[in-house]
Amino acid sequence: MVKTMDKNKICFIICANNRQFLDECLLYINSLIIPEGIEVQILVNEGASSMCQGYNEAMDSSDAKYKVYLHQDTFILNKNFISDLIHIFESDIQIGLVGMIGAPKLSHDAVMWHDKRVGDFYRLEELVAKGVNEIERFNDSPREVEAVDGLLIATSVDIRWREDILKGWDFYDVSQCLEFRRKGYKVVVAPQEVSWTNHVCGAPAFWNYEKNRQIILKEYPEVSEDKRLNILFVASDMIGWNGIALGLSIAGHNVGFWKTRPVIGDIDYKVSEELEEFLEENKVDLVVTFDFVNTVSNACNKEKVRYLAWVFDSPLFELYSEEARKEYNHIMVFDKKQYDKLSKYPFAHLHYGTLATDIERYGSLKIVDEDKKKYGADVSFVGRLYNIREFDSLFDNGNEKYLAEANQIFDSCFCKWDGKTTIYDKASQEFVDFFMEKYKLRDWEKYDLDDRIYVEGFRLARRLNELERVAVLNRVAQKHKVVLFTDDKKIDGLKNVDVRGSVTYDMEMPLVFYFSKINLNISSRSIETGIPQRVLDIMAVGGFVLTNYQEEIEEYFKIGEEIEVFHDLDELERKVDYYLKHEDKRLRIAMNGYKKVSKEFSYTAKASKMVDIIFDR
Amino acid sequence: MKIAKQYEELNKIRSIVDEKLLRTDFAAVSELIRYMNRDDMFEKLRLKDTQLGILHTISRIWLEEKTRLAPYGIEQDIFNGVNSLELAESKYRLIQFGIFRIENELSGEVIDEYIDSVIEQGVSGVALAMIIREESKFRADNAIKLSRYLKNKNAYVDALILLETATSLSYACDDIYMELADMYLEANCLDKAYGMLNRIEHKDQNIEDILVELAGILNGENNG
Repeated sequence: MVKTMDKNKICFIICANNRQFLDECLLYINSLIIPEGIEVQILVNEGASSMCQGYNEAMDSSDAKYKVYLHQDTFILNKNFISDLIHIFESDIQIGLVGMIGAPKLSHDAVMWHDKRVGDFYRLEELVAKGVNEIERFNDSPREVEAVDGLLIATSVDIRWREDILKGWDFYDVSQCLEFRRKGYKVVVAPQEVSWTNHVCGAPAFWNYEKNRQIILKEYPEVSEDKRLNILFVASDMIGWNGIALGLSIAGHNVGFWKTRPVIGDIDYKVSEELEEFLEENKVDLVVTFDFVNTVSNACNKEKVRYLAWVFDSPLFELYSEEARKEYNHIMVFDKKQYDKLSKYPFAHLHYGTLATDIERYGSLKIVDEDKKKYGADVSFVGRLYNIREFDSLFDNGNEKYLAEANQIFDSCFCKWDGKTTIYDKASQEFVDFFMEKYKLRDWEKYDLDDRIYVEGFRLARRLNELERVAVLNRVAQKHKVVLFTDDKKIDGLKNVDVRGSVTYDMEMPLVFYFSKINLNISSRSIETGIPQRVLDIMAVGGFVLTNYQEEIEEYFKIGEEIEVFHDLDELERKVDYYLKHEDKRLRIAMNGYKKVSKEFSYTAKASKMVDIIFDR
Repeated sequence: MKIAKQYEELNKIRSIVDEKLLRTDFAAVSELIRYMNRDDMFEKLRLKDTQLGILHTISRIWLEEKTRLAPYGIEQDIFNGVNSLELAESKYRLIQFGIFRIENELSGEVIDEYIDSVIEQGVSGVALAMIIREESKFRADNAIKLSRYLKNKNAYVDALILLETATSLSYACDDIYMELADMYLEANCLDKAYGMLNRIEHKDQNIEDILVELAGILNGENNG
């Protein structure tokens, strides 16, 4: 039999188990101004077996058209609550449910606070200022949302609460909102000039949370159709960039930042435990770091959360460990040759992808003329010369023959960037054995790294980098003004190069790129074919980049139109001469390069693509 | 720590704490606080349990009370009658809810009821001032209103202690200094009144005049 609802009646329904809270809650209800002609009913259910069951029981026993389901720890502060609420319902007959806080778009994991929320409740201003529980306040007109928080739910229509599937005290709010929406009603949040409610809740209890969450996801598949992910970005102690985080956020995902910066290196079990706890409580879908962080891998694999290690070093020591090969790790490398070499190891998921650049941040770079003097140059180079280590002294005491071999290797590669010349596979086995005998790392057995790769890729490459960088700078400095921005304290062998101090990566380096006429890139020899980060960063600022040739550059860019390269020192000298004289051509290349990277190499584009690959979309 | 393990550990901690709360004399509370400060698991998990969080706040109130109440010869403290975590929360909520009643200007009757409970249970001005800070938005206003309600019920010392404590908290301001100065003047504590009026940042001419007058009186007294 259809019940006739009394549109002049409002019923407050509370499931209670604490007398002190209940009494206080009722005090506020009894302090509300009752509009003329309206009857107020209060129903308290103190023996409910679940929230849905308790609410259904009360709902069935009242003929009030308007029902307000609230927690016992919710105090209604707005004395005109009743008239304001009825006004909202009467303003649009499609509105079936009103709440105080809600999610315009419910997160795909059904957890309301994992996405943006609107509305208001009583909060201390210092917490608001800190961004704790960030909620957008508004006071104009009701805002439609997908779900509201159960602290207070008001309805103008009776629809059964899902006591058949939800037996506890979680997710009844999300469920009820979805029920209303399925039946074609709007779910809205009330506009509040001043908070209408004070929700005196304590610490959330997650003990049965996950079970109920899974019920919701099963019953309401429309929730998980949302493709947005909850992503946690973890900066390490050595790399504080967050371009990926920004890019993924722009792509629409919910991105959070981990509170500490774990050390790259051995697993820090204390930090791992904290991270594991966070991952479990917060339903994180993906964790992302630059390079590979053992601590993060440990936590993610324990919690079965996918982990993307966006590797911009080549080669990277940490990839040669057991930890790197765990099931939930997705390792992305940017050098095809390195990818081929790593493919021989049993990684669970190894991907190749070019690096990306922080287009969004560089696009908002603040340019002032005064900076030109400090950061500008005809030709500039930002980087290290790697000459901190005393290479030659490694071969003292009768081992000169190995030094001679090393120098022969260097001579064969020196300043030849033709796509074929490489530092790898040149050393004799005797040389490799000598080097490993004397200079193997203390905890070598932890790494499954081929001795040759270590000797050539990590040690010989560094020395060759130093030799080549000095040669390149000296060659250009013979005829032009060259500025080196570096944090190296000891610089040997440079002639006529203006050596300045270091520049910060995020604020000052882009200014160097912007103000310098020609920005040199001299890739580390350990990067065999890939496009280094530096090249993309220069182009993202609109700088002109002149780089040593790398095979993959041709695959992605038009040389001479979007970028310029040199294969040897003679070509370097010619091109520096030419482009310093031909500003128009230089600027055109810089502009084309910028357009290319902004379209195809932004973090938004690249990181999104990688995420799609990881999640099989 | 996994959620299941947290739950297990929290239950253990709660049992330990409830056991310790069976006695709330000075030595017992000191020992409880030592436990809370030294136990790693307590520190790690107290934010995950409402009642443990409240207990932690109450312990800070207790420490402050021991300093501020001694000169007044008051021995009763916040732990009076708090022999379990349930009772700790109940007492805290009593104080907290009453502050909200004042802030939200509920009827005189219900505020009266609150003030009577506070006095009956021997809730100190220290506890009131600190919970105002922890829980409410309009702190200075609440402190002043509450002190006036207490004065009206002849709980003069509690009102005084509430304002004195408030002057050392983050919400101290001219309004509070002024209210406290008034109380000192009423009690003929001229030197304290002078000190309080001097703290007022935006002094109007009236206050300047009073300060001059008080200075004169105090100097006269000093000179015999």
